[in-house]
Amino acid sequence: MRVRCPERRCGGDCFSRLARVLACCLALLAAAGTSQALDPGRIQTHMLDNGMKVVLWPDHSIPNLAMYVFFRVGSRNERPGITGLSHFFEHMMFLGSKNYGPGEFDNVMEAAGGANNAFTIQDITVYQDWFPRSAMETIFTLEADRIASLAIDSTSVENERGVVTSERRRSVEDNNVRALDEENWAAAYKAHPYQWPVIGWMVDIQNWKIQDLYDYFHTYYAPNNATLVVAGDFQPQEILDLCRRHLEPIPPGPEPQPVTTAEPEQRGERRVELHRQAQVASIISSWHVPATSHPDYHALRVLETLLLQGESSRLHRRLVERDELALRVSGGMDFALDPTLFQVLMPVRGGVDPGRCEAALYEELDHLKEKPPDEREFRKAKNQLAADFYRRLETINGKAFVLGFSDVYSGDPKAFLDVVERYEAVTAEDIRRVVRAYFTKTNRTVSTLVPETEGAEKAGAGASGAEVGS
Amino acid sequence: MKRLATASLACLAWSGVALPASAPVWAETTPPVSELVPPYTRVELSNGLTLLLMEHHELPLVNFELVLRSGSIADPEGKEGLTDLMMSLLRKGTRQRSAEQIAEQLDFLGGELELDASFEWCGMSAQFLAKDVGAGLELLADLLLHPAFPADELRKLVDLRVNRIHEAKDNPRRVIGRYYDGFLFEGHAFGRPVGGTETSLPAIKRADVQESYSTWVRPNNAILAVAGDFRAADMRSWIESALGTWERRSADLPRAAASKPVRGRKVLVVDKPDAVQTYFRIGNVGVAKGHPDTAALHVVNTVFGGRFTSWLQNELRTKSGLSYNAHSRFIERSVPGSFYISSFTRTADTEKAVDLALEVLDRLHEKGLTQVELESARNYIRGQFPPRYETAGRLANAMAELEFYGLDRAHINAHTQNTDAVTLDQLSEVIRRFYPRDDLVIVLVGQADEIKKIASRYGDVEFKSVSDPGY
Repeated sequence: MRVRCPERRCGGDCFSRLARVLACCLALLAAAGTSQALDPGRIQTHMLDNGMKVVLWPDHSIPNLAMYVFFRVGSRNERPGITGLSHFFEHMMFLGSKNYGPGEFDNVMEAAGGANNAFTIQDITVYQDWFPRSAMETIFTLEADRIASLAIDSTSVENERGVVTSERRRSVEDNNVRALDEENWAAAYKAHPYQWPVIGWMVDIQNWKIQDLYDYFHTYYAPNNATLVVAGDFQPQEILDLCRRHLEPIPPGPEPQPVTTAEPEQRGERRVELHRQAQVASIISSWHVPATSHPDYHALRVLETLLLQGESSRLHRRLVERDELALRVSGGMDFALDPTLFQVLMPVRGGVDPGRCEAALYEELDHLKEKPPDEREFRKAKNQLAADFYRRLETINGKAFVLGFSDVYSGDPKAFLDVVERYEAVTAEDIRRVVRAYFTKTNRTVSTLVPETEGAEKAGAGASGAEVGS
Repeated sequence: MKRLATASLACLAWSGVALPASAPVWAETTPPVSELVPPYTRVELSNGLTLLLMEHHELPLVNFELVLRSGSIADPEGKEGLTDLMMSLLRKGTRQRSAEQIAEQLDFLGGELELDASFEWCGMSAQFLAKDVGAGLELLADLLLHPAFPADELRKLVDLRVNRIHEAKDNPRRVIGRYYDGFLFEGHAFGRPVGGTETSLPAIKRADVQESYSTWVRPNNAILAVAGDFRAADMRSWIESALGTWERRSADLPRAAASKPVRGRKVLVVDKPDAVQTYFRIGNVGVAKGHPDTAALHVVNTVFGGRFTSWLQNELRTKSGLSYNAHSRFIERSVPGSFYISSFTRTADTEKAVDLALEVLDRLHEKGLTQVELESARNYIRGQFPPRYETAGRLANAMAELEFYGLDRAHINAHTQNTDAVTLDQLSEVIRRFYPRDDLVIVLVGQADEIKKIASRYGDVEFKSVSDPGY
């Protein structure tokens, strides 16, 4: 008896965590080979003449479809002055095209029984439609119209600027953890675009020009920069016919400029503080780790599970249960096209010196540098990854996610089929090696939220905030 | 190839879509919207446990949904949070297993376990791989039948929860619902927080937990719904052997008193001095679960505040840019729960946004819905309803919920048909009866200094601060 969240068209925050969880679901498809619903033989990949990739996974458990369009553009493709533009653009995609005026996209879709959302993360922007079979033609007509001929209306831009500033106030200015996360990325990166938040700096949100939006559209929203994924109640030929009629006529564009900036190696610990009114202090410690395409990726995913997944995970047991230092421990790493961060977030218990949380965290990592996990603990992590995999494929949404992320991060939507073997191939020794290689002090960035009372902040007082007892 | 023209999207076209005959080449058929919850087995075991079983072979997973007929409404005055705490402590030690062993075994199986409480029920949700269902069930039975409630685990959990309340209060979005319920249901059990407060949790003793457990965690008070990859006959015998020794004990089930709407207007301002936006809820007491106007109300609320193109979202977000989100909701319980409009905006726009929300509410009464909006909402409901029952876990949840409220499958399966039958006259009646206009409770969380004057325009104002204990 649980209630679902009604949030829509969220910024990167809501879903970057989801992407992280999804990594677990790329685990064991091969093991599901006997299951009717998961028969990977049903998955089809087609290439339209204009370079748009189409991936199909028929599943008839409900009379509905999930259709996701993955565009290879995110905050990674931005530059100072236009930070947050990818996410803002995601909002603009709903606000008018050649044959559908402002608001019509949503009105027509919902009147046909469909619903939509979209999200932007560092590397990609994803548009999601959920609809009954009866709405297939309508959905393709709507999607094709906005990809072919978006029409940006100046009144809509200004209203939407207000919407996005409200979104930023809600999810960063009024959210200590998100604000701290922003500090962490900004301190860990000096050169690469991962340094700014997906939602963008407030001053940039307030200053984009309409021309920036058109430039972005023409640069990144060509069909050859996208993958279309459909899962649900259809026959492949039906969807292919719709693709040929609606999407294939859209001309391809030039290849976007590649992102060439690489973050230089970090050669010393970086520490930042954020002083805000708060009842609870928090710490984020992070380390630079390689991109998803790197050979160490799978070992890092198993490590993430050992450290953070479940109440028996090492960090939960140590920090929350045994030493009673943190309110929870969470984190891990996102899928990433470029080298990213492995983060650990720890809200600190009242009366506890935050330094003790940090020390316990580093001690747990040091244990793994010395002694690899035993066989049962290692098996446990792999079992958790396997079970999560099934869980994520229970819905047509989950299937669309897995196919799309697999395509974006490996170039092949079916690449996740052999991921099971890759996890199984990770050895306890690999775990020790990656902890030693990446979880070093010089590669670390630590952000601390220092709580302040109202009076202290107004007086500009520094020092430590008042600890809150119960 | 079968494709429906957009013009035929009106309700009647639907019935043809999902029939196997319309797509003869499919290897499998798709369930129609009138059969989203398929038939299932209901048996009562000799100890009084109501068992609901549904085979669902899509994935090698098994879902357990246990619902007990008692919740926070049974918590003694001053010990709010007791039921929720008691349920959470079930995983913190049994006669044979320590908390660490329970966590390790659960994770080793790749299992999932949630224990929690609401106002009128408390429960346990679990999921295991089908191959591990024996070990999983043995673990669940141990937690349910032999909890040890170690004193140190109680102390730790109370301390953790008090800290988490402080943490939640740093984020207005996470606590506005608790302030709203507390203010709306003042004097009623729904106004007392399920999770307790900074002061009520430390007042809970181990003896309270044990008494709560031995009174309410009883088979004759329980519904166990199981859905997934198993044979029903096997599952029944596994459960009989795992839970057969669970002893019944009679107790008068707690019942929520009738909840009465607030008369007139009253306003609560919760001070969060560093907030940059004002978060608000406006509403009153709503409707009970299973009331006969469910379908008509679903249609109205879809148009008013239940989807992206809703009136509220259109005015407060799309047309004005005041907010990222505005919506409205009815929380249905065995007696009427809450109704609310919810949104937020930057502090300086508080008055504008609240006025606009009230204006949209007025317009609902003055104009009502059009035929076009009625049809759009019907299609939307029909199109968005099936995913709610897509997985075995959601079906287990649905079975437990139907049993708990004494409803049958038709409550879900006939829902789209019922929305098809709704008329504009019924919608007007529903708006008049269920959408409050003059009698309203308003809760604002934000910078009190900046918004108190505005607040007093709407009614008598009470003040609280997020740093005060409780809500």
